[in-house]
Amino acid sequence: MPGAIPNNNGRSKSRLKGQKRLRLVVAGFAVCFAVIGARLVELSLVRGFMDDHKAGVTRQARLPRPDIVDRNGMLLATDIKVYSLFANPRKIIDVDEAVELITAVLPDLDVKKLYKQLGNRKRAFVWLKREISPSKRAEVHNQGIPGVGFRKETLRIYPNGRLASHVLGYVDVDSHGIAGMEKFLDDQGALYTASLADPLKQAALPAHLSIDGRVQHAMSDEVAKAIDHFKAKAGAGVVMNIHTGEIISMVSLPDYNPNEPKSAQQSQSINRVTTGVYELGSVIKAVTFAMAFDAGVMSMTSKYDARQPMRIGRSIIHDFHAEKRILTVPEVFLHSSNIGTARMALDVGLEGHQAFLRKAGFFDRLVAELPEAAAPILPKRWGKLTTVTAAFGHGFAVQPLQGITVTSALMNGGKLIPPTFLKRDRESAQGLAVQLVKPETSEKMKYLFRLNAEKGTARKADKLAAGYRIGGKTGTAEKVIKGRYSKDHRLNSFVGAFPMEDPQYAVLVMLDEPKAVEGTYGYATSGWNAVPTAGKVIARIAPLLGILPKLADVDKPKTAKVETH
Amino acid sequence: MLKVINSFLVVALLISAFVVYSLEYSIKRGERDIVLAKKKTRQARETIRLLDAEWSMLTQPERLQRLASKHLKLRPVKAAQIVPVNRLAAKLPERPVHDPSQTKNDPLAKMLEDIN
Repeated sequence: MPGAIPNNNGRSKSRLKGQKRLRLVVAGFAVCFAVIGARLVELSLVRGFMDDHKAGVTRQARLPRPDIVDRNGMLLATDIKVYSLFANPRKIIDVDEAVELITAVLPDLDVKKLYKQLGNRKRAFVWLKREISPSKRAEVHNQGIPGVGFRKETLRIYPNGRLASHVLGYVDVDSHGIAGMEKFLDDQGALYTASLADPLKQAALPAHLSIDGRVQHAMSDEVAKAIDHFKAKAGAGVVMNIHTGEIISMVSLPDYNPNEPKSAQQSQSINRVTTGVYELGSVIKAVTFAMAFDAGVMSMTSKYDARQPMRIGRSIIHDFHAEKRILTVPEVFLHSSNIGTARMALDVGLEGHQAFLRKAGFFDRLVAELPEAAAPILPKRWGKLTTVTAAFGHGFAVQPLQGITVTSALMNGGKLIPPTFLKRDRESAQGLAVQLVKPETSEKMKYLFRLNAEKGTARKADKLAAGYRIGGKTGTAEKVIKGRYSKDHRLNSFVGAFPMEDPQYAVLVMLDEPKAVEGTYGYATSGWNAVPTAGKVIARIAPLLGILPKLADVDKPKTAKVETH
Repeated sequence: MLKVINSFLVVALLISAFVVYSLEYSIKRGERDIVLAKKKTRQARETIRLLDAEWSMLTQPERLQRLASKHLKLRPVKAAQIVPVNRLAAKLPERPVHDPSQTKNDPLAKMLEDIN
């Protein structure tokens, strides 16, 4: 434009042209800015509010696991953060100095191994020590050794120690569930869920067990005392809510500390309630009674001839407390007559007996949540003798948990409910229930159980847990030692329920090889050890479970007095 | 005309640059606050977990039983000691049995005194 100024007319013309161009440029820029502006608004305001938490999942060396709590929210297993010491051998300048400094703080490290680890230039990463305390971490950190660092890790701890260890199981060093509930949670994908949880929101819900920590402790304490007192090899106890199938307590002693998984691998610390199978003996008689009532081959007034031992082929069936007379049905129950029970099973017939035991689940491997569940040991061929011995609990071995599950069914109106270690409500339990026997049969069984506590072999338990209206059946099974039944090695058990007018909880107590001790007059049968143990357990747990005692007038006078100082 | 537009644009540019930069800085500050708050929350959560675990360890039923049997006179409740509400009236003593001012050996009070 400058230097090219023709006349006035041409100037105004070109100026007009220039203005037009300017407008075009301005318009062009305006459009561009408008587009950019619109995009900005969209990105910052619209999209920004839609998803603002895309990033934020933190990767960790070990996966977080959900907490495990008992039915009342008591913490049984949790994760805490710890530091682990690692080294990069390639970056270490002076191996001697590094070894010296590290062992000064951590004297329990093996010096030779440490030399080897740090001297290996081929590797770029080596763990020196997992899980060190915050103070040790600070000390090593302050030494400032090049090539040595820390990694934050999650450590699984069980703050209640041995309590419920068989239910909880344990994890390996990389936080993978190895046994018990921990393994179950892994198999259910709980690890994956927990790893997605926002660490800020604690969104990972804890796993709610059916176990009640207080009842668990009471059971564990009493069984431990009983093992000690009766010099038994082992013991176990279970409390089950008979209307929901929830296992309130499961104890098997000796147990282990899940914080030290090595202690769990000893053979004597197996879970006797689900991992072991046993011939439950007389406890199974209750099942035979229920079967005979239910099949209609027996009524409360039936009579059974127990005058002579019973002969089946070459075997002879004796009674332990032989009465040698004709027994009524309640008498067969109270005296735990093998002959009487065998006759009941024969009346039902071989087919019917097998069908009933199958319906009760004794022929299948029962798996609640715990992966450690043993399959039953069953006779290969089912003959007349098999039915006779199976009637009083010999010749087939099942998990004790199966025993208490079926007993619960006999007490709750006949509904067989699969047991669970997770919290469950009554409605969903009813949905899973299978009618095993008629409600009337259940009523008869309740009567017999209560009668046995009032007059039969379970008297001692009733006395110790006065007021809680217990009922139950005892079992003294001779153990098979080297292929023969041994008179001196017994597996004693008690299975019962309370309060009998409307049973709520079933209890199982088992003692492995208890001995006759002072105060048992040379006896080592169930009534002298397993029964009083169960009585003490019930007296302790009934108030915890909200069962109100009803004392008969005889028991009352001592109680009304208030102690004055 | 052009001068007016130009000067207006320059002023607008300056103002918008100022606004954009101050916005950016305030956002950065906000982001830093968020990161800090998240870190603090995480630490607080970890502390809570640790304290939960410790509480659970301290209230182990086994430990409580040991301590209670050592320091307290209280024993597990017996069936005879449980009275239904509707029969409570009949069981009430005429005057309070327990007078705190008169008791000398209250183990709990003693423990409290020892602490102070």
